[in-house]
Amino acid sequence: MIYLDNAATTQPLYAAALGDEAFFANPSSPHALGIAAERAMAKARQTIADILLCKPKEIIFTSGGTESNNLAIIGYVSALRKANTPPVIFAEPWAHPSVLAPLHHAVERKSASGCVGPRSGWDIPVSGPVMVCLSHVNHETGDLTDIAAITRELKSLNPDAVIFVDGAQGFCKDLNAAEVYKHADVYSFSGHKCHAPAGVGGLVVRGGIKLAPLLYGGGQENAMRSGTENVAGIVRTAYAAQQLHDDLPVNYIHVKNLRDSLAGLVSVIPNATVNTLNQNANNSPYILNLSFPGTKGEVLVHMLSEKGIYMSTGTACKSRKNDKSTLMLMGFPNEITESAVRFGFSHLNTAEEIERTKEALIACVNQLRKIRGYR
Amino acid sequence: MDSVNIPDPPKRIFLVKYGEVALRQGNRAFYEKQIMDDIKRRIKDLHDGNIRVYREQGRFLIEDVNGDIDTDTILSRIKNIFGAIAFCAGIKTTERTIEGIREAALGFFRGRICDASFKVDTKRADKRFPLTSNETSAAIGEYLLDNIPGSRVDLHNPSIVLRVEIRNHVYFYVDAVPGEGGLPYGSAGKGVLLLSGGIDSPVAGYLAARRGVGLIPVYFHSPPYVSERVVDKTSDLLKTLGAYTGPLPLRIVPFTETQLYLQENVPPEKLTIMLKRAMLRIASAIAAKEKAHCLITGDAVGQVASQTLHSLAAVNSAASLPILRPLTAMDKHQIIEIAKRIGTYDISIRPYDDCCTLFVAKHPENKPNTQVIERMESRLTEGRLAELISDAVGNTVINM
Repeated sequence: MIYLDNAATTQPLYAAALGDEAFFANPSSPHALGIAAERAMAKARQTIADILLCKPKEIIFTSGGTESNNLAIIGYVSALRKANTPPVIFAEPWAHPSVLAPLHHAVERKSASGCVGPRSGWDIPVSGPVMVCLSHVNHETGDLTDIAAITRELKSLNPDAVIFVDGAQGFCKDLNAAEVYKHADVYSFSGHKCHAPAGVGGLVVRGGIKLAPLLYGGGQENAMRSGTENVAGIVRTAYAAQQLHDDLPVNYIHVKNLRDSLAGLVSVIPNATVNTLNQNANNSPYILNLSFPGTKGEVLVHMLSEKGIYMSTGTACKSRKNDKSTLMLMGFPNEITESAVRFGFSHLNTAEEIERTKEALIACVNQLRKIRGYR
Repeated sequence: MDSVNIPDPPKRIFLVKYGEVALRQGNRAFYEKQIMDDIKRRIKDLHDGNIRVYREQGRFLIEDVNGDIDTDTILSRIKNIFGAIAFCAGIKTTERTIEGIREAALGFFRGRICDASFKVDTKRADKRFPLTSNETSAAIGEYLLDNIPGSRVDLHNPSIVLRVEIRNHVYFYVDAVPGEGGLPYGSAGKGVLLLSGGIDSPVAGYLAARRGVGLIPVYFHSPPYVSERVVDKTSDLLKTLGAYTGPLPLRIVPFTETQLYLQENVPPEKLTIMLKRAMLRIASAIAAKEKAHCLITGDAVGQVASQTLHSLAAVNSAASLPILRPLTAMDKHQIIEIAKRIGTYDISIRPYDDCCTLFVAKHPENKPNTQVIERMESRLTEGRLAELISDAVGNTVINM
């Protein structure tokens, strides 16, 4: 198996290093087991806080990236429901659906006004509540956003603007992430994108920013996220994040080599393209989006899947057929968008896997182009 | 001295009306048995096996030998049976005197007509009963009027009609839940249904099944050009249709080789027609194996290039059996309406590419010439096509 769909989810690692048994108790229980669970969670929270350069109490653990993004946007809007002016929320059209959908929801319910468009067209109000949604790394193309520069610019226009960064694809995968973590007012992350099991994510909310919870109940996570904590998942997420964070300087170079090697296909397969918003920008090496005009991305995925090579046509979260794909919204022509495939790398991938993937891709693209009469 | 018959207390029963079938002269008994067996099969596990289903002059009766039946549960099991036109939850009494009958009627109707205008409508199937239908209605109506405060009779515009049927026993009911109608499933013989996973073919299958055609569903699979998820989708469609027909196993025909062969050997604008002909040949061979009498497709005239009259004519000769096209004269919105009603629509619109989207030409021919097509095909048949088709038939797997 050659798994190149790490932008969708990663294989859980480190299970052997951590036994789940110690963490099965409810961390709110007063007995010894409950205390052990609570301590394990506190340690995990500290670990992630150290990575994200925030205070432990600024982290809200959730069920994943989607819940974190919903909490950031809906939570912000709900907290302001009694304000005189409803907040204005800005996002780019190629943000992840878990950012765009709650934004649309808030706008539909008239609890916020929204502006979804390219950053160049944003007209940031100089006063009043504003939230700006940015992606640390774009989930389709791997484009990196210069969070620090944009934050400085936006804050000079409106010092109260809240900078919300969707970090699902950037957390522990960016050498300069510290700059992003420091500038984001609200930052979301997801465990299963970094080799922890699915079901854990979190949101960093810097002091001074008020969100309303989505879930009410037992008051866990400072009443921001009621529900018994997923202690085992949280501990594993912290452990995985720590490993990835510590190994990043080495992993990054390895993954970048893999990405560059696979991207080299564009000089081998005629008319193949690397799809990115800005060809000169510094992209994340963990994601590579390629198009092979004359083929269909979905069919390539099936053909490679038969050979035990797994990648994707795009974010697994895009669902309905008639929704415009992220690449369409970015303005790529039809022959590029319909033939696009996304590769998500992990440090577990090897150079040999990439060589085999290249061979398989060359064969499948040629075969499919022949069938479809592409010249 | 006559022995005194003490009637049983009234009990809740189900009365099933069947339509067209009752008009059949020669094989009415055959149809009746089919419907009755279908009803029995669907509810035999209920009421600890105490269910009794029997026929009384144009009606099926469902009762529990020991008492009342659970009408909601039974209705949910049998409402999709083809051949039944209405289901009436009511009561049965073994009373035979008008005094006893009107008393039972009062017990059943009392709660249903306070402050409402009503009318009693009697059907006297048992002509031995001394009163005529009208006399019976009048006698019961009068008794109800006297005994239910606030009730009033309105023969022309009643807000509620109280039905009385006098047969071997006497039955009362108010509401009739409409049934599917049609003919008992399978009573017409069998047909091979060509399923694509789209909106149309499951509806075509449903309509044919409603006319008594037993379904043998076939799906043409072209991995890796088509997702395995389309197989799941097609199976899910059959589970939905199965609510009407009973379990429907899916035959999956491996079609990739044939598809690629035609792709390479046929001009693109003729490809769709040639693919359809290959599918019809394979379906015909499966039909012969299964002793089926027809093929069923979801074609509607003029819907796409391959469904113009010219195209339909150009594919027909590939089939060795008649092709039923139940959707022929329907508009898309009518087809969608049925798909929604029978529950297949939401499954059909799941977003997976089917083989058509990959292999279809930009400008397929919409007025193919049958002779040209047949000549082209016979050349290919002398080549590998015949072998590919017989392999596809031989390698078809049944997905239970």
